[in-house]
Amino acid sequence: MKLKKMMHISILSGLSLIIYVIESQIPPIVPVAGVKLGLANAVTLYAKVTMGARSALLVLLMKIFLGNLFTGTAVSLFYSLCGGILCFMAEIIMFRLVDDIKQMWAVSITGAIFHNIGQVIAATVLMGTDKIMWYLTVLIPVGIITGTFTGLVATYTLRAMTNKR
Amino acid sequence: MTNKKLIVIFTCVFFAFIILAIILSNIQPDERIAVVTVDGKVYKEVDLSVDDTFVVETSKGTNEVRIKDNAIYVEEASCPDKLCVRHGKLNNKYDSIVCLPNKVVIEYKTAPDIDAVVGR
Ligand SMILES: [Zn+2]
Repeated sequence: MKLKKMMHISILSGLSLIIYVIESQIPPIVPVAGVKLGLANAVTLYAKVTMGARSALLVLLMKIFLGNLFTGTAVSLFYSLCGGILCFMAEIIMFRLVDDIKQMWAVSITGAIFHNIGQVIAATVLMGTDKIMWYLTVLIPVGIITGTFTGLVATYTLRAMTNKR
Repeated sequence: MTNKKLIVIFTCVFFAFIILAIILSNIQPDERIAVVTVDGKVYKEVDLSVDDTFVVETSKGTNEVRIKDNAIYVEEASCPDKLCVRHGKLNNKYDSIVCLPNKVVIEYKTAPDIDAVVGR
């Protein structure tokens, strides 16, 4: 890996980590564990567009592991991993389905929905009750709203960055 | 996919789930009996017609549960997130009060299924 790319990944990981830590201090909108705005996902999307899927995955994993080292527990690590990986896979598929990079909001929404589905699956596994599934009726609409927001953040950041070059 | 298509898809999904949430949240249980489980195992079954306060003690911490006026809620908890307290009352058949750090779940009792029979 080139030094420049490594630095780029490190900076984005750091940025995503800061957003993640700040976000974990904000009380969740719904009284369901793990429901976050997922703003750090904007950084992952940015990384995917500028450096490709592998680098974006690295940024995501760095955020999850370091973020939980700072603020979480082994349990929250499991949550973040389930949500994060499912979100990432959904986004990679979605990137192929959209025609244009301007449709990143759609990618982001899909990611947010699957992030929440992943967390509910994690909760179901951990708690041994499928009753938590009911929360999806709330978490999917919430994911659509937060996903739109993070998608727009990523789009505008990307536009601002590419215009400067 | 065109923008229009995508917007239609997400709008439909959004409202479909909102409607589903509204419908489900209005369904009340047949019997007002709640089950408290710790780490997937039944800890206590309580009748909500009798006012009561008890403490659920787990290896991870404690949750003080209160039953008042046919409703059940967590009054106090040792967990760091306090989401179980913020949840408030159990308000429909599908609702559950979850304390992830303490692995405590409070939900309405459902008709006995195979799981419950095998589990005992
Ligand atoms: Zn709790």
